Amino acid sequence: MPFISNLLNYKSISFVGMEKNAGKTEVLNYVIKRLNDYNKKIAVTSIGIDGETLDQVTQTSKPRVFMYPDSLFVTSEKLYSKKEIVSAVEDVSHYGTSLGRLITARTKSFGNVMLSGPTDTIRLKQLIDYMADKSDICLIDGALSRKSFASPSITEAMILSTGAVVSASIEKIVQKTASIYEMTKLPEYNGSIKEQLFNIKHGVFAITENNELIDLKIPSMLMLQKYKDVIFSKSKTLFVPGMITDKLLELIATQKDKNDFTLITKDFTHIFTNELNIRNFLRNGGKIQYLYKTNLLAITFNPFSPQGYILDSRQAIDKLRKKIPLPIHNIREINN
Amino acid sequence: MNFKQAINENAQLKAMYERLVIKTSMGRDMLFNMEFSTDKDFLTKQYELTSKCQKFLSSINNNKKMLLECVLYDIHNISGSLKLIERNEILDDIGLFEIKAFCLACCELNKLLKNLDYKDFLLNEFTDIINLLDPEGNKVRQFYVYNAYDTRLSNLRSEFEKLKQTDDNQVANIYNEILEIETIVRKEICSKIRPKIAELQKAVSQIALLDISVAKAELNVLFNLTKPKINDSGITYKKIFNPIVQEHLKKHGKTFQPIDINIDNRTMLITGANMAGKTVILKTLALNQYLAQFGFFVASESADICLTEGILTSIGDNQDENQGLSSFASEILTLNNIVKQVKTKKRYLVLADELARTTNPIEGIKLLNGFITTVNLGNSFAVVTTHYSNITASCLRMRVKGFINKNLTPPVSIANLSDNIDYSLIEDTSNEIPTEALNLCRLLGVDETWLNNCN
Repeated sequence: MPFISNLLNYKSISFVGMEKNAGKTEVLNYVIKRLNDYNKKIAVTSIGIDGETLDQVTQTSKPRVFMYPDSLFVTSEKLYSKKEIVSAVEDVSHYGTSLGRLITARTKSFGNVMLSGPTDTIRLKQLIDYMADKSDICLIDGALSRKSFASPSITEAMILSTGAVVSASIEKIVQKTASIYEMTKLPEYNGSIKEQLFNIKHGVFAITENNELIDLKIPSMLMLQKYKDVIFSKSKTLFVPGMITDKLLELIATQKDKNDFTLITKDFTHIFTNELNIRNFLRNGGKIQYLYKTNLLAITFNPFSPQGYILDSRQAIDKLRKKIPLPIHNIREINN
Repeated sequence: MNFKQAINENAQLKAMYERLVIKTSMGRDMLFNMEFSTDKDFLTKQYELTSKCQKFLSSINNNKKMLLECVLYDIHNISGSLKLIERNEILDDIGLFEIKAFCLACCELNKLLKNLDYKDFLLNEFTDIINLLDPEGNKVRQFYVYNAYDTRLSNLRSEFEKLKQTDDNQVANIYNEILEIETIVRKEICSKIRPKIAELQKAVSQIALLDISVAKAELNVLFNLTKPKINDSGITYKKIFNPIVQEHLKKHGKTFQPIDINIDNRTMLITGANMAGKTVILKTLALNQYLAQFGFFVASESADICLTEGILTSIGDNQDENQGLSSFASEILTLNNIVKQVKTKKRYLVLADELARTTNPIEGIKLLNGFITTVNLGNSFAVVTTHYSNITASCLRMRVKGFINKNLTPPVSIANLSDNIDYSLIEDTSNEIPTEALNLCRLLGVDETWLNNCN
């Protein structure tokens, strides 16, 4: 398979799905298997809670991750007891997640595990650094979800999974996937106060021309309407660690002086807006910048949807390739 | 009162706690449950432990210091697991891993602390438990039910591996058999650990104490704290300072002026101009008394202090509109509480800031006189600040020296004003109080019409 040899250049790779059941776990399993053929020592974890056997939303079975001997995996206490593999505990975290503390374990046989990991970016980063010391390559089962504060983009590279679950219409899938791809291409923020921003999780901040960081004391992006007089009072450059929403972009669009705003957020997974608003914002000279720039390596396509319909893979992939200059693979084919 | 309650009551003590780097959860538990102590022997021991650690830390290089930090950060509190074993429950792999990691950490700490030379910190190395949890002798920090525990395990596991790939009905049976054997192994391990619970628990406490002592020693270096002496008669500080205020001033390129203070059985009455640091003196005395009696070093060049049953304060506005209390009523109730405690003849440190300041001066003076006289009947140490003159009650009168340079030209910024104040205390024989409020207003550049109309 072509893209495996590309992966060998990176110490950490995240796997992210556009929706649940877009097939990212299958891709992850495939990559683990192939890296094992290359004799690479791997370490695997996930972002946040991602380990129900049954997907709570769609009631489809959730694939487990198949591991080979002498690899590392990190999961929570609750899911560790559900493993079907012989493995030795190597570390226990001091902090807890909703599924218990995190367990780092080394596999002693073949078998399935269920993954769960840290829910915030700082701890994810620490964990990746720790795992990188003990392995050749770290694989992160990521999430494109507003429930997770952790950014999959802190990994050196990312693989995005899209598929029939996104929409029944190929046109819609191509459009949505291409839009995500465009979002990943936006630039990184490199201001002098970047270091200060990493630790901030909530609120909205203004960054002045003198690189001064001002807390606008807005507790949540969902309460924007109440604070609309405050938000643009200090600067046209805003740092939004939570998420960039339609509300925010619409508010900017209705300002008298609506041009040349700069919005900074953690990474592209923190943008939750419709395409039109974003395009409008960018057309008005707006800029979006990230603390973590994503290096998207490839896109996988899953023609099967959990609702039961199957799309024409060749047609979909052709259309995706026209819009996105990246390797695009059909996950039904990579497994063979 | 324990330490956790104290930091919730005293903001400056909390600020000190925030600068204290406790590394283990058992250390934090032990510190939080530590009582405000009146036991001279206990406190002397605490001071000694801190001294030993401070000496030790200064004798080792940074690498070793980091290593010690890492080992401490890594240690898990196994008290919960030990309780489970005591109740005849079986630990899972995670619990057993933690016990193994704990024992390995004990060995590591002993190696690191070889030169600390203090028997209280000498840990049992639990060689038998390590051997029990490491049947293959790998000496690695990991645990699972090793094949070495039971000869059947190896075969069953490889068979399970093979059959897993097929649809054989045997798979479930073999899997259950493996689980059963694993449970028996864990049960045996737990029963072998059970006789060692007391020793392990002791090691947990030792590590907690070590963690606290090391953290206190680091705090001593950070703030240049000193070991207090303990006596039975009074509270004497040479060059006492407030580490929290000092840290704040330092950030703005300023220094804290330390002062000498000597409190005996007479109530000390401090007068001084506004902004002369009277409130800071009270807060500093409270903070240092807390530090000393929780076994910390104190912020001064030297300290000779008497232990008290507690610290009773009336500092700041406790106005609580929700309870329908005015600031006056609230203060009086606080003071009344203090009086009640003081009348028990137990020894307290009483600190009251500008007593009865929110009422008219004629009655305010009466209340102040009455308070001092009442407190004098008890056994406590008391420091009271005031702007009132004509206090007739028996007390030791002190005054903050105040402005050095009387010829400043207004307006002067608040930051510059503090540079022109001598904060030291001098005994005041007159019964007059400094009348510098109008002068201060002039320096602060307040409205001239207003000032002219004052005279």
